Amino acid sequence: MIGNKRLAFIRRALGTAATIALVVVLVVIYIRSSGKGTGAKIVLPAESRSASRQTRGGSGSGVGAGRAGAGEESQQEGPAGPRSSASGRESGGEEGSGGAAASSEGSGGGGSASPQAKRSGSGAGVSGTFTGPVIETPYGPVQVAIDEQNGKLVDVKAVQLPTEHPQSLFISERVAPILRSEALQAQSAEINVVTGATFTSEGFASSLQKALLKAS
Amino acid sequence: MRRAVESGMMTAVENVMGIPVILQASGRSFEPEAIDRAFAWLRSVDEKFSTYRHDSEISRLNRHELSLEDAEASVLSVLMQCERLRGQTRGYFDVTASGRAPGEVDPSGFVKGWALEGAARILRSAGAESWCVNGGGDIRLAGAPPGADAWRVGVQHPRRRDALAAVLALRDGAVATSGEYERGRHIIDPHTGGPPQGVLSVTIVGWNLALADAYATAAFAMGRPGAEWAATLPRHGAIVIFDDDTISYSATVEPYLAASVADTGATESFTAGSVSAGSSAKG
Repeated sequence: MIGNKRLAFIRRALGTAATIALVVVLVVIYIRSSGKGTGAKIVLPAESRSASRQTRGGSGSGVGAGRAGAGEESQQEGPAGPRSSASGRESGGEEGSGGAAASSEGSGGGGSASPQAKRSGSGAGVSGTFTGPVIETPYGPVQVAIDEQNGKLVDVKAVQLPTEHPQSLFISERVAPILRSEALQAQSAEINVVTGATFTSEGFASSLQKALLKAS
Repeated sequence: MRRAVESGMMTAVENVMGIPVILQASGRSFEPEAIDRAFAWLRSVDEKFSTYRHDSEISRLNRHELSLEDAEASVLSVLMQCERLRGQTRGYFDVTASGRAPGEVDPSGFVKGWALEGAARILRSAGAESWCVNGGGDIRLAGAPPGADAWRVGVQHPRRRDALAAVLALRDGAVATSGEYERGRHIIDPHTGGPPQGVLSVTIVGWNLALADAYATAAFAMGRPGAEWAATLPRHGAIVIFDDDTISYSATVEPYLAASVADTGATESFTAGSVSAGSSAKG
């Protein structure tokens, strides 16, 4: 039998890992979509220890992505796939004050995505290492870097994972390899989001639980 | 440059309701404060509905310190919707069976999707044209990320960490997945009290996250026959992954399946789908 305390620890640990996993996947997507020369800016809200926020510079081409048939509550509709949505996008050529995103403020080491190699043009065929911004999570800062070769994601590395508390450190060590493969596979299929069982799945939970039980 | 910022996506992550929630939104007239309002809404829902909070309305109801007549209108409304779902799912979605003790209710299986749906509404009414609300892998979205025609949603293979079972392309919809472990606790078949048999995960594609989530939970609780049941849901698609690694796709989900998941470990499982009664197979 597992004691209640240990169960509580595992539950907390799973929550921690899930948050970190989501942040890592998100940042990888962010680096890949923002690093194409537009100089992305990061805004971390001042109040936020728990929330981290990014304003993402898009790829510069018109991406107004018009939504079709917006309506009020779409209660009568089924889900809309790309084929069923009419006419698609308008070009987002609006001028405006985009000034709000220009500052990097608040707690905890925000920074802009800083490619160590220049990305150019359409993003096809770039190679190099790209480091993402530091993201504050409730468990501590997370920062990842990706390696690309000829525009393909070949590796995801954790530059920084939470180490403040023994629990976080422990999670970071155990979870990092899982995160890496997860981020890699999500990106290789050009995925924006993942639904699962993903972060709460039997496989993830039980392998993590085993690791935790062995060590505690 | 300005345009790049304008066309960019605002993204924020916060732990609410015991799950990490990611909000992303963009739109030419989108008000960024809406993201704070959406998180505030989620926190307020948690305060009212969490069974882990001693002073939540639900905890007080369960301790009989609060009667239904005195409960807040939203609590009553949620419980009524749960009751309707119980009938609709033949008792497989049952918030009275998920309580921690007999006679207690735990509507969190509905509340999570319902709360995220509300967050989505806040973003949309604040001018978001493209947005994505992701609560621990249950997703409500519309529009498309910058530079794309639709959101591409990977369906994680529940056993193989390096494989996706499918990729969906959506411009407006809700996607919810139930699996063997959900938020740290088991889903049980309320009729037998035991874990469901034969199914690893159920993904439902619909238009309302609360419904999609409840249907996914119910279909998973049914075990293998859940695939057939899910395929009969009007205006909902279903992807069911069985414990023998076969996958069934309902006919209604096929329009949303992205054409290609080439170059990934997912190809194999994607094409390895097999026919299950009442649903059509892909590949």
